[in-house]
Amino acid sequence: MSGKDTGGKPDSPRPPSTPPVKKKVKIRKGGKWVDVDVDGEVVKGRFKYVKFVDSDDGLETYWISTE
Amino acid sequence: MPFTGSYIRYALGTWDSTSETYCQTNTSASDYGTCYNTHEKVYFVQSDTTTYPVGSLPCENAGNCTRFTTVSWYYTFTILDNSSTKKQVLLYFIRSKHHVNVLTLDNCGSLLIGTESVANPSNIFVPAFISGSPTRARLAAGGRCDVYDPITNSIFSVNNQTIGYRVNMEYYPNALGLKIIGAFFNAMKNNTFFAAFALISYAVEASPSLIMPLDYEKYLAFDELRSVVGWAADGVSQYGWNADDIVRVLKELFPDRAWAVYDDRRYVLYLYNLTPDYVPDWLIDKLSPTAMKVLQPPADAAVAKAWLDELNRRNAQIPAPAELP
Repeated sequence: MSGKDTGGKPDSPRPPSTPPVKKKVKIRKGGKWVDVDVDGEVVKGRFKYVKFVDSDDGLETYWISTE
Repeated sequence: MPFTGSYIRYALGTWDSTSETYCQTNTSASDYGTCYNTHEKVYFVQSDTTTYPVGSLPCENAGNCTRFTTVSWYYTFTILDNSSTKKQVLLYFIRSKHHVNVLTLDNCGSLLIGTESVANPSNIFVPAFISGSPTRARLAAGGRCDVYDPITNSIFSVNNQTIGYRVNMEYYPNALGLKIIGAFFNAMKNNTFFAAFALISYAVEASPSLIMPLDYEKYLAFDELRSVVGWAADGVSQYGWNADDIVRVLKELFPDRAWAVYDDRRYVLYLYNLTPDYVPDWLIDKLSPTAMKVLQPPADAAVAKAWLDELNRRNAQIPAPAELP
């Protein structure tokens, strides 16, 4: 707004901020299907990888996507 | 070192190795042509189809022999292994059963394994593996069959009923595409029987690769590093310890450089001072990693960029041909 009063209702209070909901993806890891919350996707060469922090080692990980 | 591998089985006839298998080869005997204690079939050679028409031998009627009417010297088979240029281990296991008569040069049976380069198919056996002619190595005086082991460059004896002989071989192929050549040598002298079985397995070293274009002269001091993880002009095809060992060594030696380690047992590409943004697509296509893990993001983007540029320079990619209109 440019400061001009439009005569409308006053702004309603903003809701408390909530973290964005991460997309859940199943990956094949250690012979099992595991659900991970992904932070993004990366395409490299012929493959697409999903990005997440691996809870096993705490490393930023890019896992090949099966979707 | 972790290995991956496969195996192939090959048989000429089968028999029950736990019992006394034989075929009656005395043409005067009333049970001529009968095979005893066969599990399934042995090979029986009888070229005289006038006296013994095909199908007339008792073992043919009983279904426990395969009749040969021609006399062959040997039978060969090949295994085409395109898996790797890395160290391979061959393990072969043979069992054979031959004519019950005293072995002669004409009815000796054995197994011989050699290698053949696909790139040079006329070179049947790698010369260094064969000292002397295969025939001479295969046969020996004293009525025993001898088999030449190309790796240990030695000869072991096989008698006329060899069961469970096992040989380990290890070699470093020097070219992609190596055929493993096997041959059952059995001079099929007329009126003989023969059965053999071989289980041949091969394993390929799946050692991790250090992906770091080293300057050979600059890093001459790191003899130990080179002897451990190897050194290759392309900075890619290097052998080494397991991935964790290499990562630990590299963190100590090159804390400020960018490098990657590909664990081809777990199919994980570890990145140090790198992120996937700096990994070229051709490398991903070449390695096909299941995962990339960032051990440490780049503290200095110039270091990561230098790694990428040097890797690309040493692995110049051939551009794809232009599409036809």
